Amino acid sequence: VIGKPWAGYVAGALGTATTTGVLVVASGHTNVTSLAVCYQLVVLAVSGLFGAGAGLATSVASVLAFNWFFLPPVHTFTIADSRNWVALGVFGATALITSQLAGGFRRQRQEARERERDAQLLAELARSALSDLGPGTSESVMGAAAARALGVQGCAIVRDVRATGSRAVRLSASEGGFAIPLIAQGRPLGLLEVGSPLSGQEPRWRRPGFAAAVAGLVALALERGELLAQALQTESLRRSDELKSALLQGVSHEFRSPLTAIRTASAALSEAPEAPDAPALLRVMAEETDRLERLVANLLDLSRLEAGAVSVRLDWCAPVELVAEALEAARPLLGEREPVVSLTDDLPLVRADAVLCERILVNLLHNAALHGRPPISLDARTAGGRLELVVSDAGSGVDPELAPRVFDAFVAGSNGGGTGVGLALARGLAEAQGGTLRLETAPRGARFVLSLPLGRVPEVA
Amino acid sequence: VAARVLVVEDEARILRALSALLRAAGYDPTGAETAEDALRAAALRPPDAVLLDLRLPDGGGLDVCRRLREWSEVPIVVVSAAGDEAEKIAALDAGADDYVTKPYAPGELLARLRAVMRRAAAPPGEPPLVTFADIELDLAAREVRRAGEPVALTAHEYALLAELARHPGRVLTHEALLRSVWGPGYAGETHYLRVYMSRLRRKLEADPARPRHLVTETGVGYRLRL
Repeated sequence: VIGKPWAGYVAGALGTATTTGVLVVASGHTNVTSLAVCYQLVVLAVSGLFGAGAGLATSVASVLAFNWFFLPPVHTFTIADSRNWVALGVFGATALITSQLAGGFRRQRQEARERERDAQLLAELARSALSDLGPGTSESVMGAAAARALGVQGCAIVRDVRATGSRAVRLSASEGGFAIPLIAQGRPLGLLEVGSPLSGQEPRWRRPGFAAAVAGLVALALERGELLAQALQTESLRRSDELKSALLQGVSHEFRSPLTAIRTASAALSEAPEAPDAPALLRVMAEETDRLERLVANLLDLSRLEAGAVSVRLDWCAPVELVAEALEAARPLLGEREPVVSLTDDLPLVRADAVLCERILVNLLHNAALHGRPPISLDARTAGGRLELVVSDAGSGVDPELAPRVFDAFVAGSNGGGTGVGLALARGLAEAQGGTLRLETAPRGARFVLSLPLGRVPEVA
Repeated sequence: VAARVLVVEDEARILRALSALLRAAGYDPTGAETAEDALRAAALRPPDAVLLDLRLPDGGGLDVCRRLREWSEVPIVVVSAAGDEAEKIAALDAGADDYVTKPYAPGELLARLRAVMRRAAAPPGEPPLVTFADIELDLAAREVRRAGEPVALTAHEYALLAELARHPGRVLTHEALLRSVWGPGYAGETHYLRVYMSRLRRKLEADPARPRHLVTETGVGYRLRL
């Protein structure tokens, strides 16, 4: 009720009437003119609470009431004694000044509150512009944030101004909707279309300069999003460039050594097919072919991954099956080094791509066989809403200097059959399905952890 | 008499090497380089097995598979590109008996070929008794025994096991298993399979974590290996 515009007038009337009633009862005992002070109290209270307008009306009402009820002759608006004219004049003037002062004070306080609210809303908008709105955040999110600040039903961000078509866009503020140009550092970025106000609420864009401030923030956020997107693109280009040059350097070596071995062995065989070391030469050819095959497969997958062309098919997978299949597939690579597997069979299903998981685990097992020392072990555990598959060995571990770059292609180099891209590929495949692959510090040997998010497994009847 | 194998492969050099490998293993290979060649060769001189590369220059190998199946029960092993599980599933749906992934290990290829030919030679109809490890599955009596002792299976567990046992050695795709055991509405509910396979393995495998008979075919389906 206090917020309604008529409330002040009602309060003024009630206050004046009550004061008059009290004074009529009390007037027998006191000097009449000094009673006027009591009316001042009402004027002060009403103007302080409801503003100068209601205060002014209350002043007038009190002067009239005072005159009617207390200045002789009572019950007329005429005044007999000229001294009472002076008293009434002073009373009227005091009431007027009081009402204006108190009203002005109230206005200032209200304005200060509004400014505080403006600042708060703008700060909220700025915060969401900085945190929520990254590259690729939809403009509708930003529009919603602007609408919250402006106190309107909705806001739309129009990047391509031509997209408004023949629709007329009003640029001056209006309840029926209007648009503010979005400009960052002198560069036009589009339009912020502002919808109609929320029903029963004063739209905040009425505040001087507020709409412009909101538009400024939105423009900054848009610009920041563009810059971030550019930076990401540059970064991925740079990484893909780095990868390409690493590939060129690494690949030539990695391809050449098995090719050389195969060519030499086949030349030796064609010279002397019946030589006693022919079976050994054939074995070299078969082994080196396997190595080439793995290299090609890993490189192809890696470049597919870089190009975003790996198709990920997420489905519910049983950790036990992932591990069993990986062990089966890795068996030819591990030879005698049979891994130690400790799995409980109460592990929850995980939402992942089984084919990619198998590739990751095979690469990790092969890596452990090449660079570590047996026993290789494969464990699974759940931790913090994730399934973690852990491949570790008992070798000397990863050189601490090499550790930060162990997932980069061709960093570790290869000794005896490694391709130099296995770990890079494994990490990429893990990330492609929403998982992570990390190197953990272990008391002995290297420990790689494939971590996959656990979802909510649907009920099985 | 050596079993005839029709090798469909468009790379002449691979065809030559493959033929040499098959001859060394005691088969009588015939080569075909295109889909049309393959269908004609199969019609003129019906082979005992077909080794079919899915990537052919004229039309897909999948088509060859489908058209062969229109009139022939010859066992077909398809050669599929690595990492393309959808292609494998499509080939199995088109009637292929098994698949190997290119580049395949020669030993693996020969083993698959032997297995499909052995299955094709088995007498037609449902085998009354399927045995693996210490498990006996009596399809007629709907009974499962482990080391002579009856094993209690739920209706769905039994249905899943029986479906696999009716096609011993064959890969059954997730979708095919879900349809036949749970019904057409369940074709996408892979988690049912995961849960039920795990229960079956606990009851039937010596080491459920390293199954030897109820085998996962990653990304494709399951197979009962006898």
